[in-house]
Amino acid sequence: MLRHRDVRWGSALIYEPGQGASSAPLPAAGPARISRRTSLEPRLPSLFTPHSIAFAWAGNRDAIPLRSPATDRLVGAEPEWIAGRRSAVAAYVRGARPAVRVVFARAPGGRREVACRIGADGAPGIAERTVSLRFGPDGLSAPVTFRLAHRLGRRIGIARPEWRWHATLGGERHEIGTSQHEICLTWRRPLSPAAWAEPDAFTTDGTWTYLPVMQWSCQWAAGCRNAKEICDAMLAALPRSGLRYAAPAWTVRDMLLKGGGYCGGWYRMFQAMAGAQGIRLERRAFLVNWEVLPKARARWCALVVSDPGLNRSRPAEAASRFHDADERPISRSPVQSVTRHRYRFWGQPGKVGDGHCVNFLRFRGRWYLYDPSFQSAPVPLTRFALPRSNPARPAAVGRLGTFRRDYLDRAVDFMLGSLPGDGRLYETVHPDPGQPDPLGQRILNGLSVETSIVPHAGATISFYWV
Amino acid sequence: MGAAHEHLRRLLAGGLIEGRRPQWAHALALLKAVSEVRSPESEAVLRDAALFDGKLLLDEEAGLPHAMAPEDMLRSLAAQALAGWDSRKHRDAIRYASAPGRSALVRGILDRWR
Repeated sequence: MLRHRDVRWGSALIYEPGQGASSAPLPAAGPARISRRTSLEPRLPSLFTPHSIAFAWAGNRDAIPLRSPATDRLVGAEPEWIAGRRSAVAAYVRGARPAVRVVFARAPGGRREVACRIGADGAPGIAERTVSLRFGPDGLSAPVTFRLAHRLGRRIGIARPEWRWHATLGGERHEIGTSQHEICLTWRRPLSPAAWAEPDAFTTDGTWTYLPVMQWSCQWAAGCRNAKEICDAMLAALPRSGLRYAAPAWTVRDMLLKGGGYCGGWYRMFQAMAGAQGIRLERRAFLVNWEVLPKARARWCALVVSDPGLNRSRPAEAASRFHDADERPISRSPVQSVTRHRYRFWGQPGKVGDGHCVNFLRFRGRWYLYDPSFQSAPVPLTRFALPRSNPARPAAVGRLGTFRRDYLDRAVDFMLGSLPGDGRLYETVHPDPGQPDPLGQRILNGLSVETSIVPHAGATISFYWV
Repeated sequence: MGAAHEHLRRLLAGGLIEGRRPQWAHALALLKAVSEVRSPESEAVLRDAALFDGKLLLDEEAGLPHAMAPEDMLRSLAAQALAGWDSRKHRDAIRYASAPGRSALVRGILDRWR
């Protein structure tokens, strides 16, 4: 099983956590830089120059609204390109032929009214059209709508056109300026953020996407041709985001601001990335079913995971004493007591507590499990049906096809219980809150049973699926 | 009022317990202890937990819940305990814990009692 820790990438973020994302991009790790400084370099003195170019203005349905996680404002709330000041990202579905709105600035000494033909060379450029510009007291024209001369590329990726603007006036062609842009091209129209934003506080803004999520997904899935290729590429490239597991965040925005999150955030983040490409991913949490058994026994109290998670070298949980059993029958297994940093996903007796969160993709009739928190490759499942959400009744993993064999046994190292092993009872004990100093007491782990040796017969491992 | 009730109240108030930040496992132990025996005191503290709208001050290095934020988990477990005792009586607290805008996971867990 390929895990994130087996893959080494650069760790720079496209945007540092907590930094503005719409106008001050940092270099991304990877083969190409995301943004370049835009220059305005008129070759000859001109009557006017491009002042600003808007892509995702309000009401423009072609453009995909992008949102800055730092401010929660739309990137297109002001023109994406402003001469010498701003060069922000725009996004469209691949193959689109969008329109842009351009404001021109009168050059010193230039005329207040000009009728001419304006266009821009580039790949693709801007289709030339006849315009009448009237400059106001502020020296700016009203916005003029131009359409691209050709469609944008038909592949997922990031286009970086350079537009060399020209105006033809009295039969004479003037070079009036250059603008450089970064345009994300998605596979399909993004899905509603309602699935992962919880709730979408910006329903009037349409199917918006957080800017870094759009950039990452377009960059990593460049050239991919179907939903699975896209999800596979994004999963493998997640370490390049610089985000890591176990930062204290459980929502997409918090993760972008804090530089990572727990699995409750990661399955939303991965869903948001797929959603940015128009791919519907399911997400599920399998939550610990802590069954209290006779004679102070319990099965199971927690999931135990040794993998440090994405972009971490050690689990972000203080070391504790574990008592590992790795032989059948469990009750007679030798027990090895070790002090280790491991994650414990705690349940609560008789209630629905913590657990792990993953994504699922149905592709060509088959389910694939994606675990963005810990793994860099999808897990194909057979004879698997996505469990319905049911917090009232746990489902035995034996009824979920190869979920246990191909995923659970490998991803979850141990199931922690209060069980006998090696001739004695290993009991999970949380501190006694009745004591005057409950925080002075340690939490005692019971028996950590290697997941793969837990008997398959009967409902020996079951989870609440939500 | 028992020590667990008092400590849980202190946790909800954002205070330290015996001069230290509690670990998540301590918060779980407090919830478990308070939920074990139904009493007016337990119901009152668990209602406060289900209606909690602040941020818990926890020792993050000791580990945090994975599937949802500690505050969501706290509300969820408190609401489950209240629902187990008398879901009709505590419907307001259950609905608050699973209101739109809160974690969808918590809403999914508490949905049957709303």
